[in-house]
Order: sequence, then structure tokens, then C-alpha cells
Amino acid sequence: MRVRFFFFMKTATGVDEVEIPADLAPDIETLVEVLVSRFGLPLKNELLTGSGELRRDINILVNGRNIEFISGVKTKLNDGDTVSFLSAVAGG
Amino acid sequence: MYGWIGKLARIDLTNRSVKVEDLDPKLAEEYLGARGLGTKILYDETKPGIDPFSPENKLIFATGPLTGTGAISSGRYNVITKSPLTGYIAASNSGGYFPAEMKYAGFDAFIFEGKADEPVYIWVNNGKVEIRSAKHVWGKDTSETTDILLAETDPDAKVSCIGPAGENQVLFACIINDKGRAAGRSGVGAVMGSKNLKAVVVRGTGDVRIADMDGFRQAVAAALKKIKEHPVTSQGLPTYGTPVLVNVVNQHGAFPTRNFQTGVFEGAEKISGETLADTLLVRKRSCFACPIACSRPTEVATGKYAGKGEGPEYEIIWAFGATCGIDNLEAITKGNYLCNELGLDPITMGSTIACAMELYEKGYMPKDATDIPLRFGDPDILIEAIKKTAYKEGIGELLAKGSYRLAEEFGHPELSMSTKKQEYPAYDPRGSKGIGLNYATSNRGGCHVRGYTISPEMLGVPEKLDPLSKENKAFWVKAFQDVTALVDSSGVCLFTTFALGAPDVASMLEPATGIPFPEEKALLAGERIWNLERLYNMREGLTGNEDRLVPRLTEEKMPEGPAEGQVVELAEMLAEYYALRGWTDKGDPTPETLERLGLEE
Repeated sequence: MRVRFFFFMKTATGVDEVEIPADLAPDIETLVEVLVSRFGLPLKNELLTGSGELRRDINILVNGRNIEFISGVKTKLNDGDTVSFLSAVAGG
Repeated sequence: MYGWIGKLARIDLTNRSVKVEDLDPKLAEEYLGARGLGTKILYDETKPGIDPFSPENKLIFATGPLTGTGAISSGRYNVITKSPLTGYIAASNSGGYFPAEMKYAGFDAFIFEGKADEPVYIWVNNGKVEIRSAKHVWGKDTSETTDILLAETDPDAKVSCIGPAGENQVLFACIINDKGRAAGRSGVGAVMGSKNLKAVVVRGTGDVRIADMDGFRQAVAAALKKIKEHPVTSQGLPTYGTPVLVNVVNQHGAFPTRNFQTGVFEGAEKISGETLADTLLVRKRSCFACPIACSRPTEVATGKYAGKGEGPEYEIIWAFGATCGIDNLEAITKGNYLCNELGLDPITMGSTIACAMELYEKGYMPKDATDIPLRFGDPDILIEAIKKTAYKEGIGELLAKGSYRLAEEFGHPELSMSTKKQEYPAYDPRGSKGIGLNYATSNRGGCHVRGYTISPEMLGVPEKLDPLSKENKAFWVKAFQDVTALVDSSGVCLFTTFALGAPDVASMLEPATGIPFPEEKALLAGERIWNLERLYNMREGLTGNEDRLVPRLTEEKMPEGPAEGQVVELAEMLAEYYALRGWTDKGDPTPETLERLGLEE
């Protein structure tokens, strides 16, 4: 699957995107673990609270849908999916 | 008075006379200032059915009680008039430094009446108001006008002026202050041009009196703490500015492309906020007393699009980018510079060009009806179209009327992406249903900053709402519309509301003015202002039939992307919205609602 990083997530990883096979990260919860393991503390700080929970102010989209409206961190992932990690930003 | 200066200047351009009046304290308490106060004055002092370009229309510059106080982001004013684009209320909001200077010069508001017999500008210097000839700056762009008027008044003064588009009464001409901040929408600059009023220059060394300075400082400090702690206002906006939304909205499949024919733009990466930051961004800049500093001066150093100036903001990147099918960021930025210099609303400009492109490509606009080939994706045509519009040359004569009148001319008004004849901004409501209800019900026509439900629907602030669901959206739209009316009328920037709410605004209003402002009272003022705008529009002939969206959004399914297959289920949301507002099922406020709001005749 295609995993894309935007804004502070991109700064933390230093890359625009990575390819991760779905069998390595079958759901969002696992994908976050895989990514934190690969990119270390900078990305961990962007994704997780001090107590290890997913930060409420970030947005994770799977094929353009916020995981909040799919199955949260239990959202299943498949090869061919695009997962986007977006920091808290705004405009108007 | 505290908070307010307590003075209005009534400037009769026909007779070249100036009258200074006291601000009615009751009016101030009920309508606050800026958008609310200006609407109340316009409602009370103008007759229904007037031509927006007639001397009978009034043009009101109004600040809020918090403007210039040092409250968070308190650098705002509104320009209120009858819109030539919509025929309904216009209230356009701008920041920068001009608004605070208005108060330091001794006035809460200027009411411009009548029409000058030749071009004039107004010089306001510490309570003294002069009407001066502007013949020497008529025809000049906004930057040159500003430089000339500063040179002949005071280099520390602040200038708000129109460009050639306002002079030529382009129906969506804007007013530019501080070289790049805009009272942008609904054609307020065209009304200024119709009065032969080129500019207003203000200079003041006065102060805004605060009723309870200790209490005010505490309230501002508490609000600042929230701004600094919120990731959006402390990091997101200051770091990236508004263009960050290109990727967010495109990722959601709601980035209107080629006149809303789809919601996914293949060229989004090339015109994103990150690309802008990596290429053209010069630095960050803030408005008066603003810790967020979202403004983005840029420069295109070389080439045919060379120039420098403010922006582009997200809306403009969309208006000259995706919806015109253009992925050339330098051309988009040049288009933005031109709009600032010529004095055009870039949202309506871009959407009108996009509409023309669809009319042209589908053969509805005959090839010989235009002197430029209006093809999607051509950046040079974009630039030509903007210039032609400001001067009403060639096809610009038609483009200057906005997309609705243009599309109607060629027999396809449904291709104008507008409500109440004002164009939608940069979010396709098929991918964000709440914003659709807001577009449909906005008192000034298609607009995002009347009830910005994009915040919960796509950004997750203050909580995450499913953008594709219609459930509960009526509640959020009403709540956001009322809070926005409160914020706009107080004189602080809407961007504070990513971190602050009505209680924070109320907590600053109370010590600033010395008048009790519990949260409920402040929100009631917002609701009162919203309903007064509605009453103004109804007096001009508005019915609930105009609370609608174009068929493309309610009947044509989104063809691709995350929102594929979606349409906006407007009727259901609208019925719920009317009920929440205390309006009839036809959209009229009930007598009980008007009485509750103190708006009964």
C-alpha cells in the first residue's frame, strides 16, 4: 500500500511517501507501530500522545476517508490502498 | 464609551459635507460593531429596492468593539453595503492595520452617502475628516494609489482603496487595504467606485479606552494561552498558512476541479502549500495584534509571471488553479497579484473564468463571442482574462458580471457555480455536506466564511464530523453561522475560532466594554445579526427558494474519488436548519423568533 506523509509528518519522516505491504501492516494500529519503528521518535511525537494513544488532533485517511468513520485504529488495510497521515492544520 | 470610540463619521459625498455623530450605546450593545452594526445602519437607513450603484445606497466601513484593543487578532473591519453582485446584503471582512488605525483616528465607522461628482478620497487625521480630489490617482492600481496618498498625507497613515476594477464597477470588485488585505467579496469595491470614492486614508494617535484593564489583560492572556496551545493556531497555520489545504481537500476528493466537474485535481501537488513554501514564499507576515501570522508574501523572481506581493491564499490557488484546470503555480500567483493590484475578488474571478471555460469547451459560448480561447488549463488565458475583466475589454465585459449573468447570457445559468449569484469557494459540498448547507443559506450567497463547517468535516476541529453524512449538520451550520457573526462583529479574526469559542470572545468583550457579556448574550447577538441580514434580504425580495445549490451538486453524482457517487441531500438538511433557526418551513423567521431576538417591528 501507498503511505503518504503531509506537513509535519513529512518533516518527521523526511520522505513524501513509502510503500508498505499490507501483510506487514494489516490495520492502522499495526501500520502506526511499523512506521514508528522505522522513523523513530520524530514521527512518534507526531502520531502518539505521551501515553501512547493516537493523537486526536491528527487525521489519518484511507483512500480519502477518515479512519474515524471507518473502524478507527482497527481499520483494515489492503494492498492498493492509499493511507494519508495529516498533521493538525487549517486554513480557509 | 469603552471598547467602542463612540463616534461615527457620516460623509455625504454628493454635498461634500461631514457630520460626526455619537454611536447609540443600545445599538452598540445589541449589534456590537463591524458586520452587525453596519447591517443595522444599512437596514435602518436605506430603502428596499434601491440600485446598488445609486447614490441612495450607502457604503459603511465599520470596526468592532475589540478592533485595535490588543485583543487576540483584533485587526478587523467590515465593509457593508447592498451588493451589486447578489442584490442582497454585502459584508466583507478585512484585516491588516487600517482597521485599528480607524479607531485611533477617532471613529468606529464611516458612513459614505450619495455620490461625488468627480473622484475623491477621504483623509481622516485624528478626528478631522477632509474630502479631497482623487483625480490624480483615478485609474491607478492599489499599490501605486497607496504610495501616492501616503506621500501626500502621512507616511504612517493607512490606506484602503479600490483599483481600476472598482472604478469600472466590475460587479465583484474588492477594496484593498494595506496593499494586499482585501474586503473581498460581493462587489463592495464596485459600490465604492460608483460613488467616485477612490480611497480612505486614516491616521490617528488616539487610543481605545478599556473599561477594566486588569480584567481585559487576563482575558487576553487566557485566550492567547489557548492559541499557543492549540496545534492549528500555534503550528499549522503559522507554519504553512492557508495553502496547506490544497492537499487536505484534494485528499478528501472535494477539491472542485474544472468548474466543479470533479473533486480530484491531478495537478494538486504542483500547486500545494508545500510547493508554494518551497518555491515562492518570501516570509510570513501578521495583521494587527495577531499571534497566528498566516499571511504569506511571495515573489515570482523571473519570467513572464514575475512579480511580488501578498498570497496566494488557499482559495486563490483553487480559483486560478484547480477550477480552471491550471497547475502552474507561478501563473496562479501572478493572477493573485493582479487581483490585488486591480482590485478584484479572486474567488468570483476564478470561478467566472472556469464557468466561461466550460461554456466555451461545451460549445455553449460561440467561438466568435470571445476574443480569447477560453480553454481549461491555459495559464496565459487566465492572466489575459483577469486583465480584460478589470478594464471590461472584449470578453471581459461579460466576465465582469460574474458567472451567473455570464452563464445566463449563453442560456446555461446552471453552469454558474453560485448561490444568490455569488460563486462558491474551494470546497465541493458533495464531499462535505455541511458546507453545502452553509453555501445554500449564507446571507451573502456562496461563501465559506459564514459557517466554516470544513473545520469539523475535514480538519477535525473542534471534533471530527463525517463529511459525507448529512446527520446533525444543520445544528453545526447554525452554530457556526451565529458564532461567526459574533466574531466578525466584535472585530477579531475568524481564524481565532480554531482555538477559541464564543466564551473566549465574550470574556474579552466584557472587560473591554464594561458591559456584561455572558456567553449566551454574546451568542444571541450573533443570532440577532444573522436574522437581521436575513430580514434585509427578504426586504429585497429573497425567499426560501433561493436557499439552494446548483443542480450539479444536488443531482449530478461526484464522478470519482473518495466522494464518488455522492450528491448533497439539501432538502432534508434545510428543513432541519429552518426548524433550528425558528423559521417557517418557507424560511421566514417566525414572529416568536423575531421577538426573542428583539427584531420585531
